[in-house]
Amino acid sequence: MRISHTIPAIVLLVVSACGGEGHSGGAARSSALVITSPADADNLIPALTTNVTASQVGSLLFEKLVEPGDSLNTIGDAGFRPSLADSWSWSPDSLSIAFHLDPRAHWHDGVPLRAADVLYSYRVNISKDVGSPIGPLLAGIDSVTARDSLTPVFWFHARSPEQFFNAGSQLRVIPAHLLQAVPDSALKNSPFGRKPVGSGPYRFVRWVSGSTIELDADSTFHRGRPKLDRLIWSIAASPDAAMLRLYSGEANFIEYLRPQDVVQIAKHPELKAVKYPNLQVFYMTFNERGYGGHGTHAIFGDRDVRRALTMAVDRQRVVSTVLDSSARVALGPISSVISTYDSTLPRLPFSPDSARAILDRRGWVTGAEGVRHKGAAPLRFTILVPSTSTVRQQAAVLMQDMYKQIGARVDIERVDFPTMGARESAHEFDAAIDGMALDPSPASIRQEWSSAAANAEGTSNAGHYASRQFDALIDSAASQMDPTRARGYYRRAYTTIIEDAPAVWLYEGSAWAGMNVGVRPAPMRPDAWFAHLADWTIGTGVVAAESASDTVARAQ
Amino acid sequence: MGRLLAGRILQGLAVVWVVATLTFALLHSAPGDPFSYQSGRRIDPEIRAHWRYVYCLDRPLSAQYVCYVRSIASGDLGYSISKQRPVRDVLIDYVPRTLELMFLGLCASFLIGITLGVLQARHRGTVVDWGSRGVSLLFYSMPDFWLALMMALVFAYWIPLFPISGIEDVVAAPTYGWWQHAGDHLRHLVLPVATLALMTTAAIARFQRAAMLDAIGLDFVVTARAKGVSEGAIVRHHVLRNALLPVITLAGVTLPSLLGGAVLVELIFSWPGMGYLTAMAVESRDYAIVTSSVLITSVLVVVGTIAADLLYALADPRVRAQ
Repeated sequence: MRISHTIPAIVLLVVSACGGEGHSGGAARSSALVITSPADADNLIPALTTNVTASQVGSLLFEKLVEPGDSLNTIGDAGFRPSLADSWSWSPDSLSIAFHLDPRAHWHDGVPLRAADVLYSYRVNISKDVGSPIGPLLAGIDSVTARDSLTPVFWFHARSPEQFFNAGSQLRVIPAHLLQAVPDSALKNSPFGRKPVGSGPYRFVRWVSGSTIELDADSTFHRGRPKLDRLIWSIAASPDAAMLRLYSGEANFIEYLRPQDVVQIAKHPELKAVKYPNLQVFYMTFNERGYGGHGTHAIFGDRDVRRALTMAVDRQRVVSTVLDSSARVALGPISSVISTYDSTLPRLPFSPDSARAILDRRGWVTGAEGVRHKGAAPLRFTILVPSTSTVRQQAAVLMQDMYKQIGARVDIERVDFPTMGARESAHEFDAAIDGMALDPSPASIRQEWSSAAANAEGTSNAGHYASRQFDALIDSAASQMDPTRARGYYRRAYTTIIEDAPAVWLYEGSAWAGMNVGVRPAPMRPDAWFAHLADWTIGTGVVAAESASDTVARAQ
Repeated sequence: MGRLLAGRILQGLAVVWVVATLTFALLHSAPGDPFSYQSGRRIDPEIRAHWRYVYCLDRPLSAQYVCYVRSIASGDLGYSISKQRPVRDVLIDYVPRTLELMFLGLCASFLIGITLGVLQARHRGTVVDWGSRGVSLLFYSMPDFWLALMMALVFAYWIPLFPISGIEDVVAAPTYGWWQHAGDHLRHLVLPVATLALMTTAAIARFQRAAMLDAIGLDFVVTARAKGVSEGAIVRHHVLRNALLPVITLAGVTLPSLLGGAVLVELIFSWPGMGYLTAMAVESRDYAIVTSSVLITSVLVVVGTIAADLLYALADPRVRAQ
């Protein structure tokens, strides 16, 4: 073929695709929410999912028995909303709960959803061969049986305040009829993980690796058809590329805006930034162990010094400078949206003078160049920050200056997330600015800050905080059936950890989502903004996400 | 010719082995492993330990290397932890997209580069020469990521001629027929291919210009001119044919730089190819993906270089004779 013929043919093809006519019509005009997402999903079987995108997609495909209410209460069954189960009943001794499945619930292939599916899902999640991250959360459950085809019954080892939450809201139900023939060890390689059949408000349409995951509304959904016709996750790893997609109209939703994006988005009348709460708390943790986990840290092993270093930080200034109004100072290791949060908790005040006095008292005297030392050891340490987080880097720079005012010399080291995780696990750091997305369960603080968590990888307690008093109070709170008394124990536990200052509690999250002005979100739940996606709408006459060809047509 | 090929293949295998071993060593010497940072969900320590056992990550590095070499030798590229799929399946999705980008990028850069080189040589010392050299040098000296971002900003946002990123129109794609799919896909290719091409065109143009200027002064050109052959025919039939020989070598050399550039271009344009995949895998310490991607990349470079050598040998009888 001669080049002179080939080039016009290609140009014709491109131009025809650029033409605004017809081809994008129906799809573009239906209400499609195009979510620009930073990472592709890993596996859509909920028991195997470990990443954010897969969790979001999975939550629309697979249901839990019940959903927590917007108050995020996890104690007892108050506030929980029906999902697969339309009602439930407790045994008189509270050692079992029977969930009554909605008889209209069915899989997207038409097969009714039954108790056998719940039994299978439980078995898969606790299987060692599957290694589900959810498995340990189901440890309090002794067994699951079926009273009849619509009534799975959860049996517990012992009564506990959160047994209903653990049984009803940790497990997503997957179809036994499609998966039970697959050995547990082969489940991760099952084609189902990339082409799932769910029972949720949306049904799976397609997954283009690294590019797109698409779901369509299921008009036969047992709790009513969702309002948005289509949900599309469009993958863009680069934050700049993701923002350009939003600005150009190729996407109409992004779940997380960087502070600079919030400012930029105000210049685009077709877009809006929406603030929503989340469960993240950010803090600078002190490594109380020596470098490598041996002995005690020369600076942070001393509780009084940690308190002084906490009092030296003007946290309000850090938050208002770095995050403006999009975050607020954290009181302690929990977010204000956790049901046991108490705004009257005591806090260590910002007081550089008190900090200096404490350091003087503990033998840290000011030496040459204004840096304190105790014997030969200087009051000098390094703050570890993730290289991808400008917010945390800016916070570290501000704190560096504040510490200089009390005679502490601080260096800042930027590393990537895996390096940070590995260094913290090996206790090879002085201080680190971390963020933790908490579980709605107040008892989950035990997994994060207890003495047992101090030796475990991937917890918040990389600094090795260990307090018997805190452990005992949390244990008492977590086993207390009376909500009022439980709150009392939690308050005392929170007070203990704040007073011990294992970390400087910096800020707690709110996040900003960016979206087209026509997108009308339902309330965005702090633990999962996507929980009510089925109730979101897109305003009449507003094209949710334009197909790229429409964008071209509009410009022409 | 046979000896030349055999020698090149042996050299290539050695290079691939060294690259694979170095990648393995460097990757494992970086702190962390695939389970030290899992976004989205807190992983119980027992589950992490179980996974490390399953994927042999709790064994000494030497044992892991033996496992790695054994699996590569048997054609098994391993299992991707971040994708939860065999690496072979992941690469089947991603590699063709990079090859497509590379092939078109290479073709475009050589087409533009050679054309520019010829023009510059024919119009040596004129505005055309200086102007085109300046412009191509400007693109050549721009940082890759900045050039890519500017291309997206200018031609997809300010003047929305092309889609900003991705491989398809995610909203309209399900309604497309095959030809609309093809057109849509081509449209999505324009900006990443153009960026890749702009990054390498200047070098090719300069090389081609120099080769042309060398050839223009040779005896057979003077003879042709003396025989009254038109200037256009001299350039097409005598100068260009001879000046193309050194540029063939450049194809083999350009391949690694294009592959390097493809990482950034794929990230900026959200083009889910091998560069994009590797960058994500490095962040998540997905050892199997990174080592396999680097392995394939080194094989591609070696094959490209061998192909260029062979082409050169085929084109030049003096090389064949050696």
